[in-house]
Amino acid sequence: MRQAGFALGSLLVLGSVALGIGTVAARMAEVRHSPPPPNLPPELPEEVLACAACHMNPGLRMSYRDSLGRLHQEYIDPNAYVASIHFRNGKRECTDCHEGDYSRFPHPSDNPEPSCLDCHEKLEPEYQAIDSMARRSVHFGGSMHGALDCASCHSPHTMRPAREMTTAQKNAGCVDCHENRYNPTGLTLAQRHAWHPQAALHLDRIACIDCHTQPSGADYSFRHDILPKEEATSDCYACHGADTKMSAYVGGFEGGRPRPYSRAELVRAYYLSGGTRSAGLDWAGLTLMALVVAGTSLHGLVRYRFARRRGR
Amino acid sequence: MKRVYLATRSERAGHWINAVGFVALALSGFNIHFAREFNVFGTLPVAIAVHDITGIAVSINYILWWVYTIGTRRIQFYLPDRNDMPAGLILQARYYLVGIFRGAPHPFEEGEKRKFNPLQKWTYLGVMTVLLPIQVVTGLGLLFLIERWQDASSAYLRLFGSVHTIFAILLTAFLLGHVYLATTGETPWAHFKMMFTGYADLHPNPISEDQGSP
Repeated sequence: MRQAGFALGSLLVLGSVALGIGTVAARMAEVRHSPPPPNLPPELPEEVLACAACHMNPGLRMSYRDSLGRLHQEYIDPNAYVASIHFRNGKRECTDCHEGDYSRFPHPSDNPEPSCLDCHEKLEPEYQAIDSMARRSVHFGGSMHGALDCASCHSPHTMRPAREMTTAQKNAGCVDCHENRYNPTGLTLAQRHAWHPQAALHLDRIACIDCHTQPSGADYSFRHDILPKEEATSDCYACHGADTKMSAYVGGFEGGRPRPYSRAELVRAYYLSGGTRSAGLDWAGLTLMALVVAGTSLHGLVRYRFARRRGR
Repeated sequence: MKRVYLATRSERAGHWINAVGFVALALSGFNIHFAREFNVFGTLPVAIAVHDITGIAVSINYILWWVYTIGTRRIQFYLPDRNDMPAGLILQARYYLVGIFRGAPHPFEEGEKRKFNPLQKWTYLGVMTVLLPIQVVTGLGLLFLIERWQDASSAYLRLFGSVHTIFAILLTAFLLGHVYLATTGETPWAHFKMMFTGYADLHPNPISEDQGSP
């Protein structure tokens, strides 16, 4: 009788466990087969839809914050995905790059991370050049050491050739992080650039790296040594004038521009009245004004003292 | 005490348009020149708009001054006579350097025939015939001809920009000196009052306008 009770109890327990597992499995199967979000681009292959249910679901937008305080987003914009150079060149399915087990939720953390060089062996020299430059960047100093890789800024899911991108799209790599994902100061980009007399215009029109990198003779399109803000360009006339950073450097960043700006273009479009100013003349002028102010002040003071002595 | 009508309504209007214009031009000009260090207008486009509009207004005012001053023959007040140069200049300079502290009378009292002392004549004449026309021409050049100067050298830009800067400095120095010397009247406010009312109060003076020459 006792044995029968034990057997019945065990059966009940086992049954409950089995029922629980079955329910969870059924729920998981439901997740895996839940319908993909609407309005996905038609180019998206069938195989992607299972992943798209979560990763292209604008209502879901899974994300997590890592130990450095950076927000990682697991959402992939489906339109940007099909427009990406990887998709256009045949890497259309998630599993073309992502190996490992994606049947469990959350996915196992030891799934291998795809690396650029897995496919782009031929780009090894460029990769090395970029890597050595990137190691001089602020992003690799201090607490950021080793924390960023190519994909941190250049998402392989949405990347396109630079010549196809607008300045705003290029800046998005910087802006997305420094405005939203990693922003310890809590200030907006506009607030952080408020010292600039034309902040909004420059934030809107030029590339972040125009100011936050400096030319050094290498191929400009590969500059990855983003400087600390103290070393960024802050002098208007470092760009606004002939034979400046803008003519030699910045022009090369603009989308689709085959060449840097000519001097004529600079004068026509980017002349600033101070661009031809001379420091010597400025100092002479300021000195003259200071002398006039000092001279008249002294004269007035002496005049006042004498007038008081005369009792006026 | 005698009251004498020194500045006509048009002269006073022109003077104060110039005064406001000069200050606006100096501030906005400094803002444009030292865009980062002296950003008093907040953003550069605002400073440039203020400078452009005020510059055109002051240029028109400048032309009107010539039309009025020649037309009414009041140019005579500005023209130095034989006594003004150099003896009168020295007398006036000596007054500012020595006499003014001892409470000595002004060597050249204003009157129906004399509006300015010799130093004023030379200064105002210099401002109106040299400083302002050069500033107006280089300013309008920078404003309207910049599109045509897109040649490779930008030499015109450098020339006009530098000259405009030099004369801006001189005009600002004039403005500072002018405002200070305006306080050297009978009372510190006397000249300012005259420039609003048009009338100057004359006091009996050992060296009057008629005896002004040394």
